[in-house]
Amino acid sequence: MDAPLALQGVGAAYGRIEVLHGVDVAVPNGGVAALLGPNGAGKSTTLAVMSGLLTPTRGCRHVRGKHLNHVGAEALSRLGVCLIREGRSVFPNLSVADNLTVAASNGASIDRLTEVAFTLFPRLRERRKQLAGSLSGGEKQMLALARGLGTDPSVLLIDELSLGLAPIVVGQLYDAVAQVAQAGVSVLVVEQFATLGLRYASHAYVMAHGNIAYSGPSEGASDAVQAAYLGAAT
Amino acid sequence: MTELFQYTLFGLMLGCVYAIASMGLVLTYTVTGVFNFAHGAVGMVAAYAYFELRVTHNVPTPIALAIVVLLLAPITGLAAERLLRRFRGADYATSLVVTIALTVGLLGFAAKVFPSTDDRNIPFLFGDRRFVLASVPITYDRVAQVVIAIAVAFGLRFLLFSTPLGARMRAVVDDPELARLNGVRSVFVARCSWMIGFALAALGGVLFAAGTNVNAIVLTLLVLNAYGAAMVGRLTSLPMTFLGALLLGLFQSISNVSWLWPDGDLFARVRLAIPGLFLVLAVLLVPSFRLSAGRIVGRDQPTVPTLRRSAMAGMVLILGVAALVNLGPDSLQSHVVRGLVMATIALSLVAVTGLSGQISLTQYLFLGVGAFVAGKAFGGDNVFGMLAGGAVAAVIGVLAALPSARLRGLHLALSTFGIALIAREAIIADPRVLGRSGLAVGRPDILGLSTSGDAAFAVWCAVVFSVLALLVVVVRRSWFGRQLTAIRDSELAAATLGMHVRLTKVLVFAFAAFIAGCAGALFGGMSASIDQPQFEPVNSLVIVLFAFVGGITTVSGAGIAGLLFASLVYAESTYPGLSGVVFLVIAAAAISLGRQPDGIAGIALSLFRRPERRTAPAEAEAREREFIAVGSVS
Repeated sequence: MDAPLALQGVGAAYGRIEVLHGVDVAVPNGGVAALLGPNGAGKSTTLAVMSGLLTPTRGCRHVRGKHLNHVGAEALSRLGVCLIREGRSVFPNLSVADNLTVAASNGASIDRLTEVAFTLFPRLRERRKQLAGSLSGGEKQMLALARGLGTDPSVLLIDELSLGLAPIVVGQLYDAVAQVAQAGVSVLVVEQFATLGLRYASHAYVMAHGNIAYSGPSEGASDAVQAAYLGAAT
Repeated sequence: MTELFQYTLFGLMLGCVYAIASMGLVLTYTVTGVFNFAHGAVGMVAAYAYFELRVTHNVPTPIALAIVVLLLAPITGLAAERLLRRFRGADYATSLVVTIALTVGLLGFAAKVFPSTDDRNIPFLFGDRRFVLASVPITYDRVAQVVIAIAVAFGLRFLLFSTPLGARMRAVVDDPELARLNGVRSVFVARCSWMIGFALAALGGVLFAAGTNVNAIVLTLLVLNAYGAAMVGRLTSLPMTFLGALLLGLFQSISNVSWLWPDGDLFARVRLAIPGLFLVLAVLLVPSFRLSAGRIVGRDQPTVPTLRRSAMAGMVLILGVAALVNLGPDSLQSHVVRGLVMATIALSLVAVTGLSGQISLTQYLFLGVGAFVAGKAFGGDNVFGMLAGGAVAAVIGVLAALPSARLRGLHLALSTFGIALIAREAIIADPRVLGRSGLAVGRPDILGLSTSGDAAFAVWCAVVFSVLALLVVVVRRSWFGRQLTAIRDSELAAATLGMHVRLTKVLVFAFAAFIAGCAGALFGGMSASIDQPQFEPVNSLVIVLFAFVGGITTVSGAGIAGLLFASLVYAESTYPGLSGVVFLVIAAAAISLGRQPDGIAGIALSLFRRPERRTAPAEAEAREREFIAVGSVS
């Protein structure tokens, strides 16, 4: 069976500056993969290409085996690709309830989304009339993640879930991610904290300088991670 | 006291119409990031369409109103969205120029389809029906205005805060990228906001026009007045916009109270300038806020020609013009003059926009000042008259730029247009300034040679244009020019380097006004007698379009703009079937060149002068990749 979302030899550029030089990444069917790498390795850019925010300059983006290079983020979102951006990706001037309404724009059922969100994160129910901008960091991340969990995506891409959050909240969020992965959603997490990412993932990709330096089972990734983070001679 | 009460009441009612128009503007701006300068023109065309249906075809009022507001306007809004989608993410200057082009295009359309020679009296929506409230007679129309405005305000509030579509609209405002990730159809949302915006503009236009004899320019400016109200709401807040609209209506209406003013018609004209004044004050006093403005005109700084090259080009121009007017047919002479005069006006825009990156929408005011002074000073036909005109225009330029020097981008453009509106009502339209039948302006004698003939005057215009163009090149190459380039690239960075950003901006406005003033003297000489309609603020918009199409960043662009203008007028005069086509052609050209700020001149230069640039990108890319690779190894 085809991977729900895969990049093959993808290059991507901001203006004239190329930042991905032929990247191969496939989100495993119904599992968790981790995308690791130091600052500036191209992890977020890879996710931007996967979610349709950036168009590949070369190579292919495949969704369930279909070549879809020139399809934008809106359409991919309707095809079940869901990216949770880095850093509290919510609409600050919309209430929690409105954030959920907008999250259902990809055709998901708003009732189900609300139910999932409020069951997993009861704190959101208390604050549903509040502006999302006034939530705490953890609550914002819960709201952002609720979209990924409640809109029944086929692929869930998560960028730096743990950034700036207390360990206890991080654990809570990752448990929720593990739950949906078990339900059959394919998940790709980007993490700077390599050990944290590797704990939940079965497959790992390590990026360095816009290339994939390692691709394989997460147990064998630690050497590649060290090399990428500490800059060993390659 | 009854008088005050009466005008307060009327003011609130007038404010309600402003509110309807300005809320549409705000909605479109917040959702799409485009300040639709054409809002006023849309209202104007809608009023004409309403007239056609209601009066010419005798359609009942509610049906005619519904067709215009709920059908025609939204369809036009859809077309506008399609047109402007190409420019999404462009800098403010691009979308401003494109919507100015729309304004001019719609004005041209109205002039062509609905000639201003015919009377078009639009009846009140409810006829003459009226009632009396505390001895003030109030027509049903006024009541309808209030009811509609309140309904629109609450309707918009309901739409935005209680419907999924509204939540999506606000989501797009908040974070467009995240909205796309959420699967929000941004095109659909943009379409909705354009349709609503246009419908409200149309509604405002029809309400303003009801009970009047429609005039395209007057009506456009009337809806344009609502921009001041939108600025009070910082282009984002609907309640504040409503408040701004009420204030504007109140100021305008209460200024009619007789005992507020001393006698004399000096103040009569100030009263008419209140909307312009309101716009300028709103832009100046409402604490500045971040607009979704990006980079400013011109991505690459065009190569600056050397002085020698420019001087030679000037000589060639003068000789060429001399040859053309002496050897060519006599009928051509007046067109050559017109082209050169227009080129000189465009040159003043090159000075302000090309050098500093700001857009000025008030050049015709300086033109008028220059023409006026040239006609009054030194006998009205003297070179010193022209220089004096330039100097006085420069002083006015300083006065106009001083309050707005801290502004930039859209704010600055709007404040300059507000100044143009004030000047139109308070100064230029005053019969004591230009006289009832216009003011005569002569052509000077140069070193004992008369330029009263068209041929000689054309050569003189070529000389003035060349000298001023050379001056622009000198300024650009100077220390001052480098400061301007720095400010144009980043005002903040320039300020941290200790440059006097505001002073520099004021000076460049003065410099541009000087050029426009000199152009004014030529303009006066060309038309022999100047009159108020020649200096309508709308003309400033038209010349901005010509300058943009020609190329607002280069001196040669100004020349091309003049050539283009003259050729269009020439075509019009030769083929009467084309009459009124100038506005339409230039609007279309500006829209299609929207992404090419260096205009025709830029395209021509990149074709002829720098062939190496066209092969460069691939090479540069390879170099950059190499550079990154090297950087990442270390």
